[in-house]
Amino acid sequence: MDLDLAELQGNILRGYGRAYPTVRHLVLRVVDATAARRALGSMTDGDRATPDVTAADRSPREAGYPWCLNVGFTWAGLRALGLPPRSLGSFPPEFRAGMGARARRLGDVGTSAPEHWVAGLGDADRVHALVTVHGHQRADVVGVSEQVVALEGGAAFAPLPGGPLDGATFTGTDAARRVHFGYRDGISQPRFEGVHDEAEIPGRPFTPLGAVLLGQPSLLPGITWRVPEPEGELGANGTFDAFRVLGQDVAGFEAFLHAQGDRLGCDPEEVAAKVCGRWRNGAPLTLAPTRAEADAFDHADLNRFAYREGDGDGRRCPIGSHIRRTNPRDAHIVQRGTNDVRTLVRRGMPFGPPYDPAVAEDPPVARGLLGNFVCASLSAQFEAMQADWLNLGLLDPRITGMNDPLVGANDGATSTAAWTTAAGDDVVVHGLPRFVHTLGGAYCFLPSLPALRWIAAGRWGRTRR
Amino acid sequence: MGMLGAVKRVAVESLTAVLVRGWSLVSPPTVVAERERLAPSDHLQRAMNLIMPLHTPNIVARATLSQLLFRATSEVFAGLDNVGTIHFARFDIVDGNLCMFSVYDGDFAAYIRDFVSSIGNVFDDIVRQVKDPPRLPVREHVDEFIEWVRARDAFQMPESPVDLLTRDVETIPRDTIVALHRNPNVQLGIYRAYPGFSAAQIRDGLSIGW
Repeated sequence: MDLDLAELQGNILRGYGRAYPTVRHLVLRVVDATAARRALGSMTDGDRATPDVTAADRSPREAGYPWCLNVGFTWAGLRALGLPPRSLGSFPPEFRAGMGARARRLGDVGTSAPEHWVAGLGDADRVHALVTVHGHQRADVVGVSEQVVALEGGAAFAPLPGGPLDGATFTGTDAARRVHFGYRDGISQPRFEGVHDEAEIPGRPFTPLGAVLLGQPSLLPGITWRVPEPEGELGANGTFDAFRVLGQDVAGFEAFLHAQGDRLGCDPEEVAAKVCGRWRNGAPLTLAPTRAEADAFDHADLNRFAYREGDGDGRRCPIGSHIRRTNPRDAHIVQRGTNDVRTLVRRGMPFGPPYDPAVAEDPPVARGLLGNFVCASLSAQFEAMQADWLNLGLLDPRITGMNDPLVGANDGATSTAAWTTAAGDDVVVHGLPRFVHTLGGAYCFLPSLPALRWIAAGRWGRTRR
Repeated sequence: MGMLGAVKRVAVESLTAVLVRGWSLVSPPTVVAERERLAPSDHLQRAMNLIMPLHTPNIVARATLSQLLFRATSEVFAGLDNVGTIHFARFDIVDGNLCMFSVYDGDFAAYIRDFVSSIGNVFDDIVRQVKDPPRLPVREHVDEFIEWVRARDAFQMPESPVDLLTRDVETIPRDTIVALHRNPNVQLGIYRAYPGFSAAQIRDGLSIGW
């Protein structure tokens, strides 16, 4: 592998892991370009006495770091930092437009529309930077976050009103792997050539680095993504991050599971499995079609399955289920040859307390996921997944017109889902409500460490601004 | 038309010209594919009307393109099968312009990108015949090619033009005026025989494979 991991930001090819169970996302505005670039220089000088971007070349846990830090910039942020027009114009159009401008394509409509977004994220012109701090303890992330805002005497970055955004994994050994809705999460992350070894993420094929890193061969055969210019200084080994604040209606979801369980005469847990494609303990329906099999499932085999042989018709794992849309594996799909090309790295942490049905919530408590969906092409990976597969169901004619039952932009008046029960009955659910609402988001560019230093130096020649 | 009518027409044209100039300066480019649509089926089937002026609109160019496309027939059909979301696509030459008209399902960028991935070499040969071609090979500049295509796609009038129906033509929304000013090619209407069904659903229903 011709790649120096010391030049990459951490948490991209490999997650920081459960040693860092708490996170804070700062949504920042560049106050003054010169001060912000100086602050960025300080954040990339390798001195961890002040906030410093974490590199990917060593395990932060083994290095004894109490916190890790990442920084990304929106296109408006890069412009606010004073990047020359030639560089700004070399970024892909969806990134230049920003997530809010792509709302309809992404299903961010109605109460999920940008005018309702939190933490200032709907104010696209002022969302410039996303600084993310992971830590062992809440005090770690709070302290480092305050230091970031105080850099250059507060003249560099200003937090937008309504933030920061705090998240934390659930406490408890098994709970730490789960997210709201109760599913075990993070099971089928990409396994990268030259980064992960054979024993990690068993059952997953290796994914080329071009899935996330610019300048590497893309996942589409023969296709090359444009690398932001200047390529060597700015674009190479950078990546894009679709940051999403996703609210989850857990009470509504649990009510749906029980109502459908009653209607269909089955265990609500089976309904939960059919909408996701996995039981809530992570066991895949394709290998464990009954709850008894799921309870006894060997978790070393969570990824050792495919669809074409044995579950091609989706009688076990529904074709419209969440995991089959996001990762069709070897299934026959409409867009031939694209089964693996929309792969995303998913990093995320829950926000809000776990739902407890015994506790009445009035007013309702906000909870959900702070998610980072990382990829080399927002258009070809994140947006194509969101627009054509999660919503619309264009990958298989048997589900076209149905949105993802778990995370799709469903409308209780018109949406449907269909599956085959464990008892073998084909069922259709009408009036499927929307369980996940977009509360905010931003498209960010995560530059490599040399690129961050290049931005910090601000020496882009005599190019006119 | 009487004198008063002529004066009114001139005044309206002058005002429109001033407004268009003003809107052109302050408005960002209109992204055609992002408009809100009202019919659920419209989120599925979409149209592309790509108008490309020929570099040399003579009989040789017309014959060359005809030959190129005839030779590429098998590759184009392979591309259609691989992309999987195309209802039809056709090439025409109209008044010195090479036109590609198609109806496809879903996301515009995904459609163009998947097609380029499958038969980018055919696109290379075709666009060499038009004015201001994109950077070649298109496979290596696919993001730019998608924007190049978008810039040559006809403006599509809203399919449920509530604003247009309830206003005098002189007061239609400024975004529409700007778009009409920027792009002389306009898709006025599209009428679907089977709204809400994808190409794959039709093929599946006909048992011809998808």
